[in-house]
Amino acid sequence: MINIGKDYSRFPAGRYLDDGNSNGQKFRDEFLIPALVAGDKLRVLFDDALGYGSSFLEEAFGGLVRAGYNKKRLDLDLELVTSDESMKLEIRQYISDAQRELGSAK
Amino acid sequence: MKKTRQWKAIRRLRRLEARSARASNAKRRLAIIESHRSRDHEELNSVAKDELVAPQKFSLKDDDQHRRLIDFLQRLRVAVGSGGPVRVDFRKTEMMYSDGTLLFFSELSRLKEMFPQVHLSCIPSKINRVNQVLQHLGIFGLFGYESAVVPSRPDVVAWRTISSAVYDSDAVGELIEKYGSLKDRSWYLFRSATEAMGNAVRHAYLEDRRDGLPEPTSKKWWMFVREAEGELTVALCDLGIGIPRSLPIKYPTELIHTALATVAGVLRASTRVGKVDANMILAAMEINRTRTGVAGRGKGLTDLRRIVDEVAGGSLVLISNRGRIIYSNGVFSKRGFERSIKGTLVHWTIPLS
Repeated sequence: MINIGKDYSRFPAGRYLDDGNSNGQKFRDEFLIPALVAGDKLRVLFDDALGYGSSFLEEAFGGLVRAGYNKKRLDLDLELVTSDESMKLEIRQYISDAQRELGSAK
Repeated sequence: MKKTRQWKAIRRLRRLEARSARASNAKRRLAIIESHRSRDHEELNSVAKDELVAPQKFSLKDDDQHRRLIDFLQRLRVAVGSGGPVRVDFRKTEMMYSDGTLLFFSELSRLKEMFPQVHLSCIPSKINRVNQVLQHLGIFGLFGYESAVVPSRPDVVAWRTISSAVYDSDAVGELIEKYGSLKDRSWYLFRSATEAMGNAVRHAYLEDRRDGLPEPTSKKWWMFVREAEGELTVALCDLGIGIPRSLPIKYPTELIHTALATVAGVLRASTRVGKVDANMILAAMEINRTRTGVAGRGKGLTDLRRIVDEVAGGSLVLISNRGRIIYSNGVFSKRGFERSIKGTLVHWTIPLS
């Protein structure tokens, strides 16, 4: 389980490594991917952070597809825990869009 | 007889003393007048180069106020860039609104950093409230003016400012967290504010600003926040190339034309540059809205309106170069101005009730 607000940053925002200390690329590479590699279903808790920039969410979660994780696996293994249902849908959309983009690029 | 002579001597002595005192007082008054004349001459000589009269209102709301403020900022840039010394006369200034004040504060801070050797001075306003704003925001300090004004008005001391040249979500988040009255709205405000900051850091300074000055060493954004009278005002400014110029750098022409056709109704050439700039702002938001899933693209500008969508009665004003869009109650309105602010200013008003 990863509690973003407690384990990573209370202020997650930004996309790339030069977008401050709480960016999406860093979260994906240092937290999400190692947890997925460990093999078990991954629960990610969102509500202890102040909020999330869309750039952070797209790079962290859409970026998982670009890093080699397909949508089917993420639908099964990635559980998003938040009171903001619209953000859950948003993240799933980023994953879908990244998968579609990857498919059209081949 | 003897007593009469003594009294006469005493009265004579007193007359002499009074005459001497009058002469001393006269000498002292003359010395004061002479020193004032000398100081005035020095001051006249020291500001002989450039004296600029600040506008009556620091505001970007209507054509006249917008033009006067932008013309003043242009003259300020020229004067400081030419080496100064420069004196700004605030005696006619009566009102300082958040949008115009943030733009002025950003420009002045930037000029001070770029030209630290240029001597700046100012004459304060006749309005105490204005002087409280100038003091509280540190503007008097930037002019090297030591004011005795102690900011005390609640609507003045409520202003907080931050600025940075990097992406700093911690600074923005910590500032937003101070406003407990936001409650769950802070979730959406954080998203909107950090995306505006991201746009400033990533896209604002892609090319030369074309303001006649050399490239600054640091490429900053500035932010104001204030809670007063039941609403939160948040504004963020960069002094970059503006959305109308950065959009063609980021996206292909066909994509921009498609977006322009969508937002402008019918794609037609406009001789009003301001209207073109306003349409480009809307086109940027449209592109961001429709290309959410493309690798390397975020919702960026679309996120700016998220807090307004979530809070009834809120508004977003986005001014970039000559264009301005206002978003409120789910509706966009746009207009163009004669002058360019040469940058981007994003301004939210969020009801707290």
